[in-house]
Order: sequence, then structure tokens, then C-alpha cells
Amino acid sequence: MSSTFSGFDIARKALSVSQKAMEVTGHNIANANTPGYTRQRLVVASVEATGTQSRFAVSERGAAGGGVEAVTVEQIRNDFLDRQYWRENATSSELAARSEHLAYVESVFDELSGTGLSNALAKFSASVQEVAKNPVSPEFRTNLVQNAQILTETFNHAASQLLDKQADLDQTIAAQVLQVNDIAVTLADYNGQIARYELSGQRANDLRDKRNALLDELSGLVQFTAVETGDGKLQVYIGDSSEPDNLLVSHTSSRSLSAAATLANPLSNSGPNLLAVTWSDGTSLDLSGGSLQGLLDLRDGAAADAIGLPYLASQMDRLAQGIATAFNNQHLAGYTLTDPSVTGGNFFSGTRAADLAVDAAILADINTIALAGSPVTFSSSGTPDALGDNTNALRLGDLFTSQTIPDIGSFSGYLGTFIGSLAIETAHTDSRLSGQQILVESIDQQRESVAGVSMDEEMTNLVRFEKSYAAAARLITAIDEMLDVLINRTGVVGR
Amino acid sequence: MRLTNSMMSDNYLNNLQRNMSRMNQFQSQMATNRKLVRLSDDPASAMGALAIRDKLAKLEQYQRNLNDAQSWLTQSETAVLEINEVVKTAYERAVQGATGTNDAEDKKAIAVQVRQLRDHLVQVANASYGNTFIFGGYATTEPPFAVAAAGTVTYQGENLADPALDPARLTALQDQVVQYQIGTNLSTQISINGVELVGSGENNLFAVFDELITSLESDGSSDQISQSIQKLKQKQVDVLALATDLGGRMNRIDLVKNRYEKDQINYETVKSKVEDADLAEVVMNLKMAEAVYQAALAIGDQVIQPSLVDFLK
Repeated sequence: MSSTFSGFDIARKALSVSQKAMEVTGHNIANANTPGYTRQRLVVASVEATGTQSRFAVSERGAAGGGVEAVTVEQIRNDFLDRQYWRENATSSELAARSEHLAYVESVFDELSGTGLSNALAKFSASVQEVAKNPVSPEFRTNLVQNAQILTETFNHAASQLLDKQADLDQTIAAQVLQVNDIAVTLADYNGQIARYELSGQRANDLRDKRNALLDELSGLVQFTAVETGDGKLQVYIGDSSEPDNLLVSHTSSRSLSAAATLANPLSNSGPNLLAVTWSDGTSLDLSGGSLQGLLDLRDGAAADAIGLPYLASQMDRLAQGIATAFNNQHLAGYTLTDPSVTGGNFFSGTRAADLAVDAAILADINTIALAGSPVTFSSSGTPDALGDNTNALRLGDLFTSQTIPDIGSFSGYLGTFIGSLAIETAHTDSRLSGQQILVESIDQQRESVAGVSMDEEMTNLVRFEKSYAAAARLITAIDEMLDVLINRTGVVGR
Repeated sequence: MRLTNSMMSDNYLNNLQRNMSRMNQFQSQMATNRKLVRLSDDPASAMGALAIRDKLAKLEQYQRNLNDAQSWLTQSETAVLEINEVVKTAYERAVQGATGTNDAEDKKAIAVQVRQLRDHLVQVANASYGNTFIFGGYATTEPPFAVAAAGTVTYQGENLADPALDPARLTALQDQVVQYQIGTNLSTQISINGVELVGSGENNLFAVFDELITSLESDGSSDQISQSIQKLKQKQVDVLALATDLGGRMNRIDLVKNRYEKDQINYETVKSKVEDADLAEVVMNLKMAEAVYQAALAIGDQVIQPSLVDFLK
């Protein structure tokens, strides 16, 4: 027979467990809107009958169990979904960063608005035509020079805006590297706290939630792999998780990234060096996603299948150079309006879009513009000047419709291809981004479905635990009444 | 799938965002009246739009060039016809002078008239269009024809009638033509230079006139004057030929102009189709998007459900 008062023990355990369960429910309800919160659940187990675990086994038939005990409070979370989320969020953040900055670059070349390169080129072409009809008068020559300057200034401006954007990207990269380092340190910190807490055998649910939120944030910055070893230690790798060189966080120790200005700047021969992102001990970083990757790709992309600022700048340089060289070559074949008439010099100076300009000699004297096909003659006494030769001007005008310009094919054709490739790349990135965002949202929804707090569920639980608490209290009353019979009303015969 | 309240509200917010961004797109289209707000909205159309703009700009320039060419040619035609009149008058004077009834005094009087006609010719040959002398070849800034001290008429300083004129110089003067660009790889000669206008050597218009004047002043015989008459007749034919040539050029320019006008209309139509927003369509899309948005907002009240909390005591 079991002890007289063991019933109380069962009831007490029931009360205590019901109370704990209600507290857990209360905790869930309180944190229903906390971002990153995972719902918790009290895990209860029934207690074996007394004696089965003592040194001397008691074989009693019909022994009731020992009540209920709370084993632990567990989080309901799906690790696999977390990993999926981190992976897809990295891709999504990479595309988002790229899309945002490409939109800015696209606005630099806003061709539809009337202020872009195609407009400047059209104005220049028109002024060449006009000067071909009036090769002698200074107003038309001046107009030609002015429109040429509009063209060179548009090129210069676009080049400097790309340079500015590059500096902007560099700054953002530096800030994000700092962010990654901060997160790494905090993660190591959390790892230590969680390990110490879990020494007691309990799960550190809320600390783990905080750590997961940090990992979510990290996934936006870099593509990482998180591995939890058998003894509960977390390791975070940037890149392949089999390489110890890729460890960012290993339990309580963390490494850091550094960004040093050591890369040559492809946009500006004299410009500031670009940041190279490596581990702080100098080993190279195996980066494959996240907004850091997106920024670096845009800053460094130099090929047609990896479009970035260097590619765009080089295309623009080729266009500027092609126009300048073709125009100069034709200009050299013409004759000036000076006395004596000589072959023309260079019309444009400069080798890239950033330093393209109208040659200083032209600016100083508009009569050095070589529009004539053969030397013009200024009058000796009695003979009129013969200045109206416009043959070279006509040939200069032909350049704007020619399809055989060396290196670039045709002026407007190359410009169109250049602008078009930028537009296509931007549109492509945008559509990939919106597809990826839907994917990330869907994974997040699934996470939420598993780990989120449902008010209805918590309310039902509340009612359930309240009722079980009341029932356990009833149990005490019942046992009390039984014992009352035993204690107060047994053996009082004759009193 | 287990649903939580925050899932439903997140979903709701995401969909609202999508609705709003569609509305924003249509509003931009309506405000700018352009289908393409950014090039990346529709890259293929955008590139087509740029190409058409380029074509249109060049077409407009060619049309301007054609207009200027027409003016130049019209001016030339007027001058050439005037020359024709002068030559005809000279012819009549010559015929008059050739009749046997004239004596030396009469012939001298006729010579004076012919001399005046010749001087008038010099003026006509120095016709200009704006600031540009149109019969001077490349001598466009100063009058190409002048009367030299010796009384001969020079063109760019050379006496075209002089048989000793260096043939290379003559060829160089003849090659001085002004052309205008009227299409892709298409230019047209619009000027008649001085050599073409008055001829050279024996056939030179002024030489012919001078010969007549000399004959008249020196009381030449009817035979001598008849020679001049023949030459004047030939000159008339030559000048009329020039006028016909000019007429032909002007016709060609008219044809090209007409074709360009049609082309321009076509290109403008295509450009509008590619670039401009169809206002009716955009307004309709905008209204629909707004309606969807309003409906979503209204539903929000019911999506964010009351939970069991409201029903338990």
C-alpha cells in the first residue's frame, strides 16, 4: 500500500505543473508580437510509480503512478527552415543591393528625359550639319564648338557620377564589414551565455531566439553556413563549411573581416584605391551571397556577363574614344580657315570619357576648325577670298550616319547597345529580385507557421490549464475529505 | 498548415504593398504621359524608342537642309533668268546694230547701251543669298566678279576669257562646288559656280559682250556684228540650259522633301506607339488598381480576425 499522504503529493505536482504551463502560455501570449520569438511549450511527463526508481524495488501490484512532472520548456522551431531562410535571404539581399544601386546608375544615363548622351550627340550632329551649310560664318563655328562641349561635358559628368557611386559603394562595404564583425562578436558572446545557461540542463530558449535573430541579420549581409556540433557548440562559416579557414564564429571565439584600400581603381587611374575585403589575418574570403557580395559585384564587375561599374565605364570610354578618334581623323584631313590654311589638328583631346574635351587650340581660335577639303585662299590684292569650301564638313557629318566607325561600328548604334545592356541588366535584376522575395516570404511564412504564436491556441491552452488546475485543487479537497473521514471520524466509537 | 495571427497580418501587409506599388506605377505613367518611366520598365521598347528618336532627329535636320537648298536654288534661278533677259536685250541691240542703216554715231550709242548691260550682268552674277555669294564657287564672302582696271571682267581674280589662263587653275575653279547633305550618304550640288555660269575662253559671256562693244565702237561691219549675234544666240541657249538644270534640281529636292514628310509622319506614329501612354488604358488600369487597393483595405478589418480572446470570459 502506498503512503497515506502520497495523494497530496500527486495533487501538488499537478498544481505545480498546471501553474508552470499557464506561465509558459502567458509568456507566449506576452511575446506574440515579438519579432523572432519562437513559441515555447512545457514538456511534461508522467512520473513512474514510487519505488521503481529506488534502490530496493518494491513490487506492488496496482501501484499508481507518481503524478506529473515538468521536464523542460522547449522551443518549437524547425532548424531546416531556418537554414533555408538564411540561404535564400542571402541571395535576396544580394539582389536587393544590386537592384537598388543599379537603379541609381540607370538614372545617370536617363536617355528618355532629353538630357542624356543621345541628346547631346544629336545636338552635336545637327550643329555639324548647320556649319556645313555655313562654313565661314563665326556664329555657326561657335555653335559647333558649344555643342561639342555639351557632348564632352555630358561624358565627363556621367564618368564622375560613376566614380561617386563607386565611392558610395565602398563606404557601404566598409560599414557592412563592421556590421559583420559586430555580429560575430555578439554571436560568440551569446554562444558563451547559452552554454553557461544550458549547463543546468535547461534550454536557453530566449537566448537562442536572440541568437537566431542575429543569424537572420547576418544572412542579409553574407552567405554563411551554421553548424551546431554534437556538444551544442555553434560554428559559423563564411563559405565552405569544411574549411577551418572559413570560420567566422567558433563557439565563444570569433574572427573578423577587414577592408583595406589596396585594390587598384579601374575607373580612375589616379583615384582612390578600392577596399579589398579579407579576413583580418589576410586570408581571402570565400563569399558567395549576401548584400556584401552584391555591392562588391556591382563595384568590380568588368565583363559583359558580370556587369558592374567598371564594365559600364569601359563601354562609355570606348564610345567616347571611338567618337573622338573618328572625328579627329577626319578633322586632320581637312583644312582650316586660318591664313595660311593648314591641315586641321585634333578636334577632341582626352583618352576617356572622364577627360574628353574640345582641344584647346580649337577653343582658342574657331578658325582652326578644319571644314575645307583643300586649302582655302585669302585674297591678294584684287582677288576675292575663296573660303566657302565645306567638303570636309560634309565628311564630318557623314560620320554620324556611318556604320563603319573603327572599334564601335556606329555612334548611335553603339550608344544604343550600351544603354540597352544597362536597361536589360536592371530589368533582369529586378525580376530576379521579385521572384526571390516571394520565395523568401514563403519560407518565412512556413517558419512562422511552425514557430509563431496563435492566439486561439494559447487561449485554448489557458482554458485547459485553468481547468486542470481547478481539477487538481478538487483532488486535494477530495483527498482532504477522505482523510477527514479517516482522521476525525474513525475510531470515535463511544466518544 | 498551421496559421497564426501574425502570418495573416504579414500576408495582408505584403499584398497591400504589392497593390500600392502597382498603383504607383500607373500614377507615374499618367503623370508623365509616358509608358516608359524608366528604361528598365521595358528595355526592348526603350531601345526601339531611342533608335526612332535618332532617325527623327536626322530626318528633321535633312528637311532643314532641303529648305535651305531650295532657297539657294530659287535665288540662283531668279538670277539666271535675269541673265537670260539681259542676253536677249543685248541680242536685240546687236541685231539693231547690224542693220546697214546705222552710222558710226548710232553704233557708238548702241555700244554704250551694251556696255551698261554688261555692267548690269556683273551685278547679277554677284547675286547673294543672305551673306553668301552664290555664283562664286568657294568665294562666298566677297563678290566673285569684278571689273579690273583694264576693263575686263575677272572671276576670282582671273580673266576667264584669257586663252593663256593656266588650265590647271581653270579646272580648280571649275571644281569648286558647294554641296548640301540631304540624306544618309546623299548630298546634292546646289551651287553653280562662276565658270559654269559665264563660260570660259572664247565662249565667255563677258568676252562675247566685249567683242560686240568693240565692234560697235569701232564702227565694225555687219559681218563682224553678225558673228557677235551668233555668239549671243549660243549664250542664250547655254543660259537657258542652266535654268533647266536648276529646275531639275529643284524638282528633285521637292520629291525628296515630300518623301521625308511622309517618313516623318510614319516615324512619329511609331514613336508615339512605343513611348506614349495610351491615356485611356492607363486611367482604366489605375482605377482598377485603386479599386483593388480599396477592397483590400476594407477586407483588412475582417482579415485581422477577432480571436478566441474576445469570446472567452
